[in-house]
Amino acid sequence: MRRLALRSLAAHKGRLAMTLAAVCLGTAFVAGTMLFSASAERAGLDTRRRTDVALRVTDAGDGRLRRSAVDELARLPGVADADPVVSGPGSLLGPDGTAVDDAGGVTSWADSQRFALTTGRAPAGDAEVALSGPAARASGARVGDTVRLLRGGSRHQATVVGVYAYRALGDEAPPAMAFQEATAQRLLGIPGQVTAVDLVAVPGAGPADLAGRVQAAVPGATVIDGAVPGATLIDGPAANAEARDRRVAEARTLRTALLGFAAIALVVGGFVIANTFSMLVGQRTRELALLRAVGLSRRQLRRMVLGEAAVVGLLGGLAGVAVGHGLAVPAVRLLGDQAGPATVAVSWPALVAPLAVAAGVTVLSAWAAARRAARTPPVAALRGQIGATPGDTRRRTIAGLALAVPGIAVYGYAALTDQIDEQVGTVGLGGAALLILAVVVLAPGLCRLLLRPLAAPLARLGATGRLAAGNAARNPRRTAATASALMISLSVVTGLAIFGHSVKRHTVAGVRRDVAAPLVVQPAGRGDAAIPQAEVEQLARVPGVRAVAALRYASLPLRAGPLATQAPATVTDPAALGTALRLEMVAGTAGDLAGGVFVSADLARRYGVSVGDRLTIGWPRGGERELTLAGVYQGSSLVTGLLLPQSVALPQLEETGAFTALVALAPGADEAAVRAGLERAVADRPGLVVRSRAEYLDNELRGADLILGVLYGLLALAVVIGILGVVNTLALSVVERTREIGLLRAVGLTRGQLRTVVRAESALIALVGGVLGVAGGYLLGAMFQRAALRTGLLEAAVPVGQLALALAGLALAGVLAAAWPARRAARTDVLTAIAAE
Amino acid sequence: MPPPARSATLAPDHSRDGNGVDDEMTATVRAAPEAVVSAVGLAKVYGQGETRVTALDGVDVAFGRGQFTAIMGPSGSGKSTLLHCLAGLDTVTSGRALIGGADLTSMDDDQLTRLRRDHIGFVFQAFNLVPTLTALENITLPMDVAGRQPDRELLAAVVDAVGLGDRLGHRPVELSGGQQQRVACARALASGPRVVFADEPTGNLDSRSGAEVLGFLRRAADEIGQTIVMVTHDPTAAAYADRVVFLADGRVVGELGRPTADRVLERMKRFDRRGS
Ligand SMILES: Nc1ncnc2c1ncn2[C@@H]1O[C@H](COP(=O)(O)OP(=O)(O)O)[C@@H](O)[C@H]1O
Ligand SMILES: [Mg+2]
Repeated sequence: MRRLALRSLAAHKGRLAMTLAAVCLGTAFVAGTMLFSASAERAGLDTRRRTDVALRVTDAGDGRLRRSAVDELARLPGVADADPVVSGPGSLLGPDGTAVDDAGGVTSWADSQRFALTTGRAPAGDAEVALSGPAARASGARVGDTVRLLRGGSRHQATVVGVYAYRALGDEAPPAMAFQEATAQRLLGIPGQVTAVDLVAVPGAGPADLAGRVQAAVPGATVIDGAVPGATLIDGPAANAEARDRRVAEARTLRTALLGFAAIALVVGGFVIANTFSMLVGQRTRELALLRAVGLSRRQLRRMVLGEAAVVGLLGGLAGVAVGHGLAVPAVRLLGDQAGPATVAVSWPALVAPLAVAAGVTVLSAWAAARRAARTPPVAALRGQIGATPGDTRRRTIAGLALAVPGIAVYGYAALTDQIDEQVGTVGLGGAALLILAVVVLAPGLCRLLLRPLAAPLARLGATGRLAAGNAARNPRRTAATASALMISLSVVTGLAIFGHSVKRHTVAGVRRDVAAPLVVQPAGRGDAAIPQAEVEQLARVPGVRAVAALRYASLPLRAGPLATQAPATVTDPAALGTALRLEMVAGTAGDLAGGVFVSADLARRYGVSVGDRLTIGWPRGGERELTLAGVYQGSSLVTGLLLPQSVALPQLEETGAFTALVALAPGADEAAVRAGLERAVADRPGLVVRSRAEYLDNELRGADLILGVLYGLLALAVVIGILGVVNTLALSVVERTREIGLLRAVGLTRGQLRTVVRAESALIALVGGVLGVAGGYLLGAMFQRAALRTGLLEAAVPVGQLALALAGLALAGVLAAAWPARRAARTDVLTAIAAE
Repeated sequence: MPPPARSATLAPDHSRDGNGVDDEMTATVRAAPEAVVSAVGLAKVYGQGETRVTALDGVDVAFGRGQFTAIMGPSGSGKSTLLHCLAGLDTVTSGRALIGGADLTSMDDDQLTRLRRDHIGFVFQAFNLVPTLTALENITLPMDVAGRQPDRELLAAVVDAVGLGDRLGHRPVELSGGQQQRVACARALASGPRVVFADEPTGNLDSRSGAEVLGFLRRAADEIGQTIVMVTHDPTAAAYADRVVFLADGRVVGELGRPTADRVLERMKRFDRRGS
C-alpha cells in the first residue's frame, strides 16, 4: 500500500509541481507569521526595562517638580535612592538640517539603570550630548561629531561623546539625547525643576509601602497603575508588567490578522490541490480499476490517494516552513531596528503547526478525489473509458441553494435595515461569505453560463477560438474549481478596493463639506508634536488671516440629567465657525457656540438631549462646568461629540496642542501672500507644514492608500496561488489531451495556433474567475463600507476603471500562466501522440 | 467483413474489371500517368546500434491521380511508416517523398503543417475527431484553421455523402464508431486535398460499418476523382481499391491491379509461404 502510494507519487511528480508550490506558499505564510509573531512576543517579554524603580513620582499639574523634592523624597523611610529625571521634547537634526524621524526627546543623564553606554562616555560639559543607539544610527552621527538639535523654536549644537542603550520604565519612549541635568533643564526651559523622581526602595519595601509614605508626605497624591496620563505615582513593576503585556497582546493581534490572510491563501491553495488530485485520479482510472480488479478494497484505494496527499502536504509544508523562516528573518530584523533587540524565536509549535496545517489542508482537499477513486468500478480496467462520471449536479444545486437562501436573507436584512452598526455589518458580511460559498458550490453551472458570453468574442478568432472555448467548457467542474480559486482571492481584493474607494470618496466629500479654509497648518508627520496655543495665536496674527480654527480633541466626563458618561469632545474657536470650519446645523445657529456647547446629531439622539438642556462637563484636572446646549450639528469629518468654545475649555485641558489648524483669509487677501506669511511664522518649527486645501486632502488620502497598499500586498499571495492553479489545470489538461493535440497537429494546426488555443482557454478561465470574484467582492465591499461609514449599500463607490484594469490584468496573467502548458502542447510529437493509447 | 455489397452506389465499380493485368513481383514502379504522390528510394531507420530497425528499405512507389490504392503487408512491414513519411508526419532517413512535385524532405515543420492542412487529408484508425467540436465543425476544421472558406459545392456533396442527416450538429460522443469514421473521412475530403491517407480506417469497426466507410471512400474516388492511399490488412477492404501494393520488410514486394478479396488473399498466402 505505502509502496504503491509512493511509486505513484514518483511517477506523477512533474504533475504535482504546482500543487507543491501552492502548498509551499500557503504554509510559508503561516510559518512566517507564527515565527514573526513569536519573535515579536519574545522581544516584548525580553525587552530590558528598569527593574530598580519601585515608584516614579510625577506631578499631575504642569508636569514639573521642584528640584528640592528629590531630597525630600530621598529622606522618606523605605526609600534607598531618589533619582531625578528631566525629560522633554526636542528634535535631533540630521546633516541636512531636517528633523531625524523617530529621533526625538531630551533627557538628563544619570548614572542609573536607565543608561548603558555602548561607546564613549557620559556627557560632562555644557555642550556635550550622548545619543541613543537608534538616534545615532538614524542621524549617522558618531562619537566626536557635532550635532544640531531643535528645541522650542531655537537651534543648539553639541558634541557627541557617547552612545547608549536605554532602559525604559513601562511604555516610556526612549529619549534620543541625554545631557547633563543642568543642560537639560536649560534646554527645556525649566531651571531648578525636574519632570519625575524615580524612587528605589530599600530591601523589604514595595511600591505600595513607598506610595503610602509619599501620599502621607505629599497631600493629594494618587496612585494609578501604569503610565496613564495624569498619574502622580507610577508603580514601576506594574508599569513594566503592563508594557510587557501590551506588547505581547499586540504581537498576538498581529498574528491573528496575518493568519486571516494566510487562511485565504490556504483556501485558494485548497482548490488547486483538490483540482490536481481530481485530475490525477481521472487520468488513472484504468490503473485504479486494475488495482480494484486484483483485489484492493475501496478503503485501501481511498487510503492510497489520501496517503499521496499527505506526503505532498508534508513535502510542500517542509518547503513552506523553510521559506517562511527565510521571510521571518528580515522582518524580525526590521522589528529589531524599530523596537529594540529582537531575534527569530524558533519554537516547536511555530514549526510543527504549519506542517500539520499543510498536511491537513492537502488531505482535506484531496478527500473528494479519494472518494471518487474508491468508487472506480473494476470493469473500467477492461472497458478503459476515462471515468468522467457526470456527477450529481442535483445535489450540488440543492447544497448551493441551501447556502444561498440564508445568505440572501441575512445580507438583505443588513442591507435594508436603517439601524446599521458594527454588529449588523458583521452579520451582513457573514451573509456575503455564505453567498460566495454558494457561488463556489454552484460554480460549474455558473461557469457554463458565463463562458457563453465571454467566449463569444473568441469565435472571431476562428477555429482556434472555438477550440479554446470548447476546451474551457468541456469540463465545467474543472474550470469551475480553477476559477473558484481565483474568485475567492479576487473577491477579497475587490471588496478591499471598493471599501478603500468608498472611504476615500467619503474623505473627499467630508473635506469639501467641512473645510472652508483655503490653508491648513499641520504637524508634518505622525511623529511630529502638536501645535501649541501660542503658535496658533502667532498664526492668527499673520496679515491677511481672518480666523484660525485650531482643533483639539479630548474625552470628557459628561452629565445631563440622569445621564453620566464619558463623551468625545472637540474644542475650537467659535469665531472661526463658518469662515474656516463649516458646520451644518440641525438645531441652533453656528453663532451660538460662544455662549454654550454643541452636540452632534448622533450623540443628541443617543443621549436624548436637545437645545436648551443643561450639560455638566467635567475637567481632567478636577472641577466641572455647567453649559447650555446651544446647537446640534450634522455629522462632520473634523468635529466629533461635544463642541466646546476654546475660551472655556482650553485652560482646563491637559493636551492643549492642536493637530489641525484651519486658516481662513480676510476678504481680499491674497492666498499666496498669506501662505508665505504662515510659512515664515512656522519657519523655526520644522515639524509644521502649511498646506493648501488640496494638499491637505491629498495628505489625508495618502494614509488610506498606504494601508490599502499593505493589504493588497498581503492578498497578492492568494492571487498568485490562484494563478498557479490555472497553470496547474492547463498543464494537466494538456497531458490529458495529448492525442487530441496530436490529431490537431496532424490535421494542420500550426504550433503557434496551438499555443493560441491554450492561451485563450487560460484567459477564459481567468476571466470567469475574475468576473465571479468582482461580483463576490462587490457584496463584501459594499457591506463593509456600509458598516464602517454608516451609508447605504448602493452608495458604495465602485472603482470601475481599476476593476476593469484588474480584470484585463487577470486575463493577461491567464495568458502568461499558459506559457508553459502552451509550450508543452506545441512540443507534442504528432506520431507519439497518435500512437498513445 | 462480407464481400463488397453489389449495390448501385456503395459497391466498388468492378465493371471495368477485364482480364486484370497481373504485373506480379514488379519491384520497379509502374509508370502511372500523373503521379500525385511518390516515394523515391525512401528509407526510414529507427534507433541506433543494437536497437536499429529498418522500417523502410528503399521504397519506390507512385500513386496516380484519382487512384484508390490499398497498401497491404504483414504486421511490422512498414505500412504505417510509409504513410507517415508520405504525409509529412515523420522525417525520412534517406530518399525523397514527393507530393504534387514538392519534396517533403526539404520542408520545415511549419511548411509541413501547412502542407498537411491544405493538401493532405488524413484518417486514423481511431480518435479522429476533436471531442469539443460538432461533426460539421470537425469536417470544416482544416479550412477553419487555415482561415479559408470551404468550397460550398464540394462540402455539400461530401456532407451529403456522409449521410449523417440531422446529426451533423452533434458531438462525436453522440455518434457511433462508423459514423465517427465517416465524419473523419468527410473531414479528410472536404478541403479538396491532393491525396487522402487512411491508416486502417476500418480496423476498429464491425463489418457493416466498415463497409459503409469503404463505400464512402470508393465513391470519393469515383465521383470526385480523389486520390486515396489506404493501409489495411483486410483483403475484403483491399478489394474496394483500384490497386494493391504489397509491402514486406520495408520493401515493395508486389502489386495487384483491380483486386478482388479472393485474389488478394491468394497473393498474401503466397507471400506467407515464401516468407516461412
Ligand atoms: N517510433 C519507432 N521507433 C522504433 N521502431 C519503430 C517505430 N515505429 C515503427 N517502428 C518499427 O518499424 C517497423 C515498421 O513499423 P510499422 O510501419 O508501424 O509497421 P506496420 O504499420 O506495417 O505494422 C516495425 O518493426 C516497428 O517496430
Ligand atoms: Mg500500422
